[in-house]
Amino acid sequence: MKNNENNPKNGASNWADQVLASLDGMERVKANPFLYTRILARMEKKMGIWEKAAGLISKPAFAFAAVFVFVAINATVLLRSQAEAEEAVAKKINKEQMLAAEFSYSQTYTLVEINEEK
Amino acid sequence: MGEQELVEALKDGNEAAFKYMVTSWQDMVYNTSLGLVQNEMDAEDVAQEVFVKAWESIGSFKGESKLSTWLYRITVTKSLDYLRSRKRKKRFAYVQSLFGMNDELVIDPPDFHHPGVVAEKKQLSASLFKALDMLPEQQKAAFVLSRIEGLNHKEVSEVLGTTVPAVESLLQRAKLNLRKKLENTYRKEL
Repeated sequence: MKNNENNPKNGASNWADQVLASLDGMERVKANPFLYTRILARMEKKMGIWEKAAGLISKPAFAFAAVFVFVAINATVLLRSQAEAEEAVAKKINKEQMLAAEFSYSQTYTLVEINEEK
Repeated sequence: MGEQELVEALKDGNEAAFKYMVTSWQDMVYNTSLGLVQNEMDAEDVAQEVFVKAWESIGSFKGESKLSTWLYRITVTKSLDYLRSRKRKKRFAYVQSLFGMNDELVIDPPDFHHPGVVAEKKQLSASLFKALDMLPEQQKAAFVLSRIEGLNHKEVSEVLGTTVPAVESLLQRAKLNLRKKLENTYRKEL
């Protein structure tokens, strides 16, 4: 692989030149003669996967299951949002009551008011 | 069959036209892919993918370039995708082996001997392919298209979707990088 040169720098450079020139005169490699058949087989296999997927989707059981899942998700969302709305209303009422309790005053009269009543 | 005619037939889903396209360009696609992925089985796998992709997306071919240029473009893209996926798998296997999840050793592939290289230069070219594998993607693609497929700079620029000066710069950097890597290899083995 290496030249018997004393100077490693020249040796490396010469060797790199030889390596870079090693592709000179190379020939184009021929593909497998059965490549076309293999491509067809690959395409059929690929089509087979899509056909299977399409066959599965078009089955009534799949359609019913999909509709069921869709309805179930909608119902869950609806029920959850209703519950959240009720909870929010309850919280609001509770807050208002607490606020009212905090600012409410007992029915006390000042001396002036008592005298006026008299 | 003229190219325009062939494209029209392919767009119509004509299987005979597809067979014609495969047989006309299979060596070109395989040879390019082999230069990039450096493994005969993987190159055949990529070549199959290239033609499947071409068949599926012929509708998007606008005829702005030659059909062969378009096929070269798909080949380069698919080959580089393949190399990226191989690197990812290798990295994942290495991480797994660090955590003891994978007992298999992560082994570097053996030297690649390109079947098209002249017999007496096979050993030298194996070193070249090893260095080539370490180049950045665009430099690697430009080098393979130019040196292995023998395309001129204009053709390479059309395949890579860039300008001729950009290709010249890519090739110059590729050669410089290859030289550096090769000289380092030589010194290490001295």
